[in-house]
Amino acid sequence: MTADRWRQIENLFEQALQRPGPEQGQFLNEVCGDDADLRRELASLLACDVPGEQLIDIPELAGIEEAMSDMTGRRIGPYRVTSLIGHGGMGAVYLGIRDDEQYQKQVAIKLLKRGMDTQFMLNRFKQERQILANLEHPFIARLLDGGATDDGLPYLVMEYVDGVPITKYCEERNLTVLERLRLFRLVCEAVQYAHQNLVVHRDLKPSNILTTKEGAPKLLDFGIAKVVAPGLSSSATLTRREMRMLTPDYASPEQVRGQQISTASDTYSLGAVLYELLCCQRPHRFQSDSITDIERTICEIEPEKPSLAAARNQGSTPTSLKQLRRQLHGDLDNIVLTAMRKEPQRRYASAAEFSEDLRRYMGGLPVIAHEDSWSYRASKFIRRNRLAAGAAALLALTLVGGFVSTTVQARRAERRFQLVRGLGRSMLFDLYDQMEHLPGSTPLRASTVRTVVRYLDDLARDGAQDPDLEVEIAKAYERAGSLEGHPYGPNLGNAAAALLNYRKAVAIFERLQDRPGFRGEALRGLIDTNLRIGQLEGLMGNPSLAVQHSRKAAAIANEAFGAGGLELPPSTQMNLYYRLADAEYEHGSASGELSFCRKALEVCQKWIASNPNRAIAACEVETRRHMGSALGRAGDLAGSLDSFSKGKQTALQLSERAELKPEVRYGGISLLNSMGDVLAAPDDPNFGDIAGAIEVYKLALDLATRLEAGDTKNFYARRNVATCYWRLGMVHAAYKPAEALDYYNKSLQIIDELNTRDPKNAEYRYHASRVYMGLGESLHHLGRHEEAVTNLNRAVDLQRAILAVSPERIWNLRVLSRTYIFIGHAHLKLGNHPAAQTSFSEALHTAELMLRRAPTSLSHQLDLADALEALGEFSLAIARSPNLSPARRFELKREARAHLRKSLAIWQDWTFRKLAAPYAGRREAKVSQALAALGPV
Amino acid sequence: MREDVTKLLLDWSRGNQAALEELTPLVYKDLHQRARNYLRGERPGHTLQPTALIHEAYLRLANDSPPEWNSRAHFLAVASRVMRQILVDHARRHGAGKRGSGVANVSLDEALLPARAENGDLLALDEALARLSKFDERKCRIVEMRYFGGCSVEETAQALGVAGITVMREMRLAEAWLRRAMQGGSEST
Repeated sequence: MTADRWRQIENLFEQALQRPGPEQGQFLNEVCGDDADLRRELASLLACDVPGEQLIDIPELAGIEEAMSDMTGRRIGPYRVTSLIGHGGMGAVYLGIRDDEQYQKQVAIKLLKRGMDTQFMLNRFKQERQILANLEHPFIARLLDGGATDDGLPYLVMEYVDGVPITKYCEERNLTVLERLRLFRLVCEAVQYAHQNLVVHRDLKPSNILTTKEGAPKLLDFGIAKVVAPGLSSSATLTRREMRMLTPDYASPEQVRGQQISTASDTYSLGAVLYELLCCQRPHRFQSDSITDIERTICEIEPEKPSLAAARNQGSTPTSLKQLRRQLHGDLDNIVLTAMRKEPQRRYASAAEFSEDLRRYMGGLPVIAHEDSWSYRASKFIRRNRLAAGAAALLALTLVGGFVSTTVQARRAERRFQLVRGLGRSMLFDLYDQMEHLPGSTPLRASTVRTVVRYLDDLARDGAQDPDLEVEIAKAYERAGSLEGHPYGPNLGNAAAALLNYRKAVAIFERLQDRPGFRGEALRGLIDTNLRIGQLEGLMGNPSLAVQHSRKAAAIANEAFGAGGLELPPSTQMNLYYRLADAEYEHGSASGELSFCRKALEVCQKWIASNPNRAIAACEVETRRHMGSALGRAGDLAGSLDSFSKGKQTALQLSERAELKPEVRYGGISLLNSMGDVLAAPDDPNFGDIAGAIEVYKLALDLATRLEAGDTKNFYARRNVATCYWRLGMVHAAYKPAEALDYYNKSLQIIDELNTRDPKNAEYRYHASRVYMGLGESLHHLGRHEEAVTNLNRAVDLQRAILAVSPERIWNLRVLSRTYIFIGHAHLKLGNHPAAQTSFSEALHTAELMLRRAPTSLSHQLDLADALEALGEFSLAIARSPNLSPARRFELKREARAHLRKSLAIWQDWTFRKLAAPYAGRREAKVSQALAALGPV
Repeated sequence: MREDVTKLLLDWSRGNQAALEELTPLVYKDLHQRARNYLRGERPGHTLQPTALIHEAYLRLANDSPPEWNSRAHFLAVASRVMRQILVDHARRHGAGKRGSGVANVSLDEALLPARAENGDLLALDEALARLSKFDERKCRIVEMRYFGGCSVEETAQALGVAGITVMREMRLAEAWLRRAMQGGSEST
């Protein structure tokens, strides 16, 4: 690669990138000519151009610490380290010799990582040491000693075992099933011995069960878990770190959930090890390594029968696989699965009993283990569900060995029950979350939601008396409603169906609110759902119903929170307050909105004060944003800016913290954008501080870009970036239209891309329409009027398309009205007066429509004023044309005066009510001037 | 010792590549020590990101040293390279079939070691970077600083004395080239 060649490639690469994808090939042909190598080179480089995707993930330094601090040759306590044996999650393990030549016995020294609480560990160790030191069994590696190095690192000294993990041992020597069982039974012996001495291992797994070349098992780390990681043994919820220390494949459900550990936990782990020994697969298949996924898999999903799992073994011949399957099928399957039952009390009562059953199997005798019978599962179902008598009777029939039809019905009933449980836990909630962030096939989601709702209806009708179940059903209805039609979340555009589901939810919550123990849940549900109904009714154009429902929600909230009777987590409270505030805004009560925002702020500040967790500070960002927006809407610009400024610093700090959830960090972008809006966004009252707005928008863009880079699969992140570009375009449009064009185009590029991936999502069309409007405005300022009109018409088309499907979305009308105004201006410049007149009139008409729906909204008043002024100026402009009759001129001036006066009235009203003071003043002055220039009468 | 480092930094900033070679081992030791001290602190639950380490190390060095140490940008460039070396060394050691070497395994928590795949990627990138540096040193430095040093576009630009846009532009081609190299694609000579 010569320097010149490389430079050539660089140049051409960059130029190629300027062109859209499909045109790149053509470009390459042009510039490369005959040089096939060059073309190949460039083509392959372009193919590998994936902006935003990282080349690698930089691994964590977790293991580097060991690498950098190899202790070989050094001393640990009275021992000298001779070599490093390996690394583990707890620390490094070394081979060592006792240095005071008393006895040259080899030991294994486990040097624990930094980060373990040394003092605590040492204390525990002292407590446990006596017990552990007394464990003397040929198959258990003895714990010899423990202490702390000079550096303050804890270490444990154990008998050194020269062996390999039991699984490896069996594999290397190709042991038969019977041989493996024999070996395994020795392990059970050791575990039984320990249990009798009241020591539970807590962390049994193949790497802790070594086998020497003589074929003797040696169990390591008995009881160490209790010393080193107390969380693993206590009933506390496991921290993430402790969770990572468990090897999930062998951990019992109660361990994973942080519940009481007993000898049965060891039995479970033994079962898991046997599982692997027999069929060479691990019992669980995890979808991901998220804690929720692990927990769910271990606690809820039954492992596949070993005989079936064995079928997946690679490298075995078909005949040997068939043999293995036959051998495992039946009794051995049952034995393993019995040991691995989710409920501790249903496992073998002891390791000895486990071993006994294996002995019976090996001797051809009948075993205790049996399959989970249908009757057992049915009885579980009854206990959990407490069905109505009829259904219970049905099941009783099946227990007796009933009829096919009843069995089928019972099965359907259980399936439904599982479905609801599944709904409550995963299906709908996951679906909800997924819809929020990923594209997908909207129609498929729609049909899924509908199926789910049908099941819910059936269930509700079956008269489930169990209030737990009812709460689940109600919540599921709520979620289904949101999915069907809630406008501020992912939705399928069906408001009527949404309302129906919400009302079903309300009915259930109302029934439950007097049930002891369920009041809290029911009240939360009532407030929440009533709010959603209110919102939806409002958007569907039923303002009185909207008010009714949201006031109801407010009343319930005030009573519930006021009396202090309702204990909800702060985040839930704040969320409810935000939505109550929004509802108040919808009904034109600025004071109501502010009062709820203040309540939210109170909760937020109390929460932050009592909780040092920095992530909670995120709620402050959210609250300041709400307050800022609320104050802006109420016309207090200064207060609004102040609120945003307060949140800004926290927002920026939080955005640096990569370990926080994305949603938390996105709040900052919102706040910065809202702040920019109040500084200079032309479509709402603002300070006219363009430079200030640009600065803040750029911060937002920077944040959004960074978040996107770290979260490339998340389309919400991409959309954020698009919105930020759009805002930068908006603020530059009037004063630097060429730059605005650039920003708008960047925004459009992203939006188009997102739209291609998810065409049914109305959101993107909305954003696209705003960008086209912006493009039109910029082009207009650049004097390119025809192009402006094209883009603006595009915007109108998009808006009309959205409104045709969802007429309740009034905020679309804002964009529409402003677009019409721009079209009017463009036509005016092109000399097309009739078209201009039509457009301006459309703008006015749209603004009046909006105002009728929400007469107290300042934004809509602003839109009306804009439309009036546009019309007024238009009439004036025409009035100046030559060749007009005096009568006509007079008429036009009169029209202009009328429009401008109406607009002036709006600004004077604002001034009188002290709304958006600096802004209203500017507008009023401008209109007054125009009127004065018109002359009297 | 400190004067040496400063002088070497100056030399390097004036284009003397050899100075970087000399500088690296000096800073390595410093960093190594700093890293050990950093890691020594009881900070349970904190993830140890390499890039955080660099910034931490810089802060300490900057605080300890006399005011001549003002070329933070240069320090970051060096530290990025050092971090790359540390990570690559570590990856080599881990990937080097420890398990198959016949030594007894005692309590290995297999689930918790970094995945083999990660190490493989890292080594592939290192190799590809080495090839890239043969004909475009600057791009190699840029990638190093951005990836291994976690440096921002501004910091990278400052260290290399170019504009931010240049950094971004060069990154793009560099990443494409490296991606291709890591996928085993051949390049023309």
